[in-house]
Amino acid sequence: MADAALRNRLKERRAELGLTQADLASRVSVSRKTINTVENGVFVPSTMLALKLAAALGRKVEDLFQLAE
Amino acid sequence: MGRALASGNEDIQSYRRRWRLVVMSIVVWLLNNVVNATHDVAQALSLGSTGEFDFVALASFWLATFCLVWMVAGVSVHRDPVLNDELTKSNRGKAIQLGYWGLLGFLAFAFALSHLGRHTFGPTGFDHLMVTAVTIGAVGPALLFAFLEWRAEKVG
Repeated sequence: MADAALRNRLKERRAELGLTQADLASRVSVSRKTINTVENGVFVPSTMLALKLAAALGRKVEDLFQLAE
Repeated sequence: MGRALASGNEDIQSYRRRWRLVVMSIVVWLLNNVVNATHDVAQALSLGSTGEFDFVALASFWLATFCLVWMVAGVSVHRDPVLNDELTKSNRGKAIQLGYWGLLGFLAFAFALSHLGRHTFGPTGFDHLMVTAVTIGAVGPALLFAFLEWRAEKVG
């Protein structure tokens, strides 16, 4: 359970809204690299950042992030 | 010169982050040489030497280490929170962990060698131990930090 991978739908949702990684990064006050690594599953965001991302993309956290089966 | 590092439509954060890594690499290289140079000067002037320990070299080593840790810890970039965001803090944590475990392993190795291998190996100079410790404890983590920051840009 602790090692379960985290899947996310950040990229799809961002594309739906027509936002670039830099746009989303500036909305949540992080660097574009952070958005890039979260989208590609390299970096697992904190609860704070996940909540900020969800708010910026107009979705609930659980809609954007799921534990892989 | 700095602007030449930024190309195309890169955002300013990417440019500043890259520039910071260049500066950090230069300073790491300089400080590593300062440790060697200070030791040589101390030997030449016979300053601060007591027995096998050279306290001038020891002081310069700790000064260099402090400067590196201060720099890697990102104290100087706190003015721009975006340059010190979660990803950077995570990368810095991994780099510092490498330094911590690396130094611990090196100390254990050196301690064991000094007791078990004293009849097999000749005495090692204090300056060599210090340079190895700086490399493992400061230069290694700085390079890992630079690599992790570079990878964050390339992934995807």
